[in-house]
Amino acid sequence: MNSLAKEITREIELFPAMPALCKFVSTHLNDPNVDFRQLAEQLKYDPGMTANVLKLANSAYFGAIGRVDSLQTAIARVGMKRMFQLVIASGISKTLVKPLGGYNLRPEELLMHSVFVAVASEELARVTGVHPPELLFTAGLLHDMGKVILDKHLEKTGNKFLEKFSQELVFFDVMEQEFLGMGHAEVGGMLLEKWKFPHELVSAARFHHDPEKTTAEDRTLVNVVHISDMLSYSEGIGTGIDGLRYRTSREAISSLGLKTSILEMVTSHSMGKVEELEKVLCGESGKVVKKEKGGNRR
Amino acid sequence: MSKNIVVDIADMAIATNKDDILVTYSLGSCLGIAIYDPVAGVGGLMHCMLPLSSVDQEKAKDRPFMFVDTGMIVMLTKLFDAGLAKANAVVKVAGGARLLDKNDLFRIGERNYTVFRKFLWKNGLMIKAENVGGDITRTVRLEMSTGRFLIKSNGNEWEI
Repeated sequence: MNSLAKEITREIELFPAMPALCKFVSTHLNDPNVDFRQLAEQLKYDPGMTANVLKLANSAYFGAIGRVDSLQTAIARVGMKRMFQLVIASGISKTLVKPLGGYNLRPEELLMHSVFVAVASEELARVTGVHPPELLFTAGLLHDMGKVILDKHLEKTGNKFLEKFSQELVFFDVMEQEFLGMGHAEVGGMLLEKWKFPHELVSAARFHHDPEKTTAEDRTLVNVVHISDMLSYSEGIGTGIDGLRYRTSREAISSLGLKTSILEMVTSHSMGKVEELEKVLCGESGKVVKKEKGGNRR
Repeated sequence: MSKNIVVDIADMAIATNKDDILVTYSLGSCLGIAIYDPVAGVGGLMHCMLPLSSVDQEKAKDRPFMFVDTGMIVMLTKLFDAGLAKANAVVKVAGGARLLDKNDLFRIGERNYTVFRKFLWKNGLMIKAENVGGDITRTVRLEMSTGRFLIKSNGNEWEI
């Protein structure tokens, strides 16, 4: 491991822990007898988080029946698994909304991309029937977390990276590996592992550009996230310095039995939902954000 | 002072003011379609994502500009209402890109372009200039004062 990779590994160790509430729902994901008092205890210290979680629970996407105004009712109505998704979403959106100079992503662009991949992954699983959708939203939402850590290192590579990338037709993840010693996928996987997230989520982050390398157990989930990620890029949602320089796994295409018409349906179904979540998570326009890029970065 | 009017994804805007610049960002497989009448001073720019509304007719009613077929019908109707004359219409298009790695699945850009061509042909319109395909993302602008259609990609900007 070179010294830069060592430094990055250290940064993963030092990266802030997940909010306490995320940890709580994560450890109680498969616990039907979760103690509400414990949860309430966690939340006393985080009123902002509570408010966000309730807003999400009341969105059409997460679909609580009737208005929900306390966390107890939210859990009862949407269930612990849905609760897990929306607690993570509200916990992580503050991190994903920030601009990334190295990747040339403007404010909100990484969040839009992540939300699109989350929604499209669920949608793709529903349409193809290949995988229970439960963890897919969160897997999609977190797949690019590694970019948040790698961003400043990528920015430091400056013109050397950009020159090579514009002169040679290479895949972006190959370039990351060459210049930084690690790619955003691997870094994201390490971070989620450190956060003790379920192995499916770790695999989705770590192997979303190389689904063939994941375990047989997680393969289908990773394939779904991978294809949804490629779909988002294809639609220009969340493209930055990387542009469209990615490889689509043939194995993922054939094992999911995909056709172009399925992708088009998934895209269309996902758009309105992504817009709704943008509104809830950013409190803004309810639009899928694409922005002007500055400088000579793509 | 020129004013930028931003066209969001799956949307369309019309301008009739000389000072306006219609702009749309980050086209991947999406198409950026500009139609301009230099005589009437009317122009429109659409950012559509998918070729055919048949995949989701419900959505197409609500969001016609998501699809090339329904988008073109509504765009042209609105442009005619705003005074555009078919005989003067200058049609330019950019986008329709694909991921670097060619495969048979991600052909959405190519399909968008084919449906667009077919629509124009059926309606007796021609493409004056185009910059489509490849593996780059594009930002496009339609300058109402000059009718110039500008493409920006990877830090370079050029006119077609």
